[in-house]
Amino acid sequence: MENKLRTLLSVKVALTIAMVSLVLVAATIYYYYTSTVTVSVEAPKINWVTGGDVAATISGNKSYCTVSISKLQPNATTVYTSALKFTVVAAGTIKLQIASVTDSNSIIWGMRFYIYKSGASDKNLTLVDGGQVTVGSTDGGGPVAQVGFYQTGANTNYGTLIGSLPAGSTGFAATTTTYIIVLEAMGEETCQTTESATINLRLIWYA
Amino acid sequence: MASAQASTYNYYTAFTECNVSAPDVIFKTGTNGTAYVISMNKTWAKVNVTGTLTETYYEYVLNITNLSNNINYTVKLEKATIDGIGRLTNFTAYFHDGTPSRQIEISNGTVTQSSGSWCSIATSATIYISIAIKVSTSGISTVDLRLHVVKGDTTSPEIVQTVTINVN
Repeated sequence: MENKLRTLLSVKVALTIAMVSLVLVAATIYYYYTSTVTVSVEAPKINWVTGGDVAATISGNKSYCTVSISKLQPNATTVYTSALKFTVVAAGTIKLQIASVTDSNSIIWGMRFYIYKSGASDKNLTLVDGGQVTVGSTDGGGPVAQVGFYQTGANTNYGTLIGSLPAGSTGFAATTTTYIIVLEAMGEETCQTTESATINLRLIWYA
Repeated sequence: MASAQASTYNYYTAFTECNVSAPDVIFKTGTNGTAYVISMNKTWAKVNVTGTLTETYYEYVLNITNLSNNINYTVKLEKATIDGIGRLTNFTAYFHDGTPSRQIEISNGTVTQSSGSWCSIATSATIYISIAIKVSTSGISTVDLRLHVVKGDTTSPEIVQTVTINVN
């Protein structure tokens, strides 16, 4: 009986403390001052376009896309001279950014992206790994932007060490025309056909 | 960093999935070279050949094999980096599968042809890299080449493989 009374007393004390705490918390005063931010939608400044080499899956508004390349090879360089394209709808400054790379098996030894302005001329591209390829349908000039990354031990001319990403190109003045993205990728010596990697690539448009 | 005046940034994402494919066109050792080093996946090769004061023609320095039984490939050679070529009176590399196709030529220490024309390798077929060599003095010369590989009549994607030839 005495124990029961003692227990009830303990519960009462605990409840009292809790109520006092509640009052103390409730005593904090919050002030709310209202402002209105109107959010409206505008058309994307660029549209993704499927390149000549690979079918891209492009969102309805053409502002997001996925592309899958399948020809990475060990100890060799694979070049997609028209991996992806984009059309600039509003002139501005654009840079290309590798936001992140998911490559748990380290299958990519080095990778570099190049942007060419479209036109009617061929242009030779000297690869990081040596050798040249011809990029077709360019304006005849060199790449307007380029960015890349590499694994430890690879040629540092690919760009930024993978652990230091994100990395961005310098910005270029983009006019309302179509641009071509060229991809150069070297496979790591032990990469397997069961392995894959994902690159989160971004175009950053600013006025 | 973007321009300090810029106030609005728009980000447009392209996710690129990158998958590995097994090489269809590979290198195999020939019969006229020495000290062959071929990577385990056979997409990279190094070979030594011996130069003499008289013209020597090596017909089977390196084999290039198309493993595919349903895809024709076209290939060409291109000079990448070179070292110590002043002693090369003649270094001419050919593709050879009957009719030779001249791909690279170094004459009296000067590169006179830096790449060749495209040649086809039929399904399951092998062609060979042949080399004609004449040197003026003893020494070591290194000719670093790139083998460009494309499928059939396409131009892209293009696979670029490395062949290094040391001339002793």
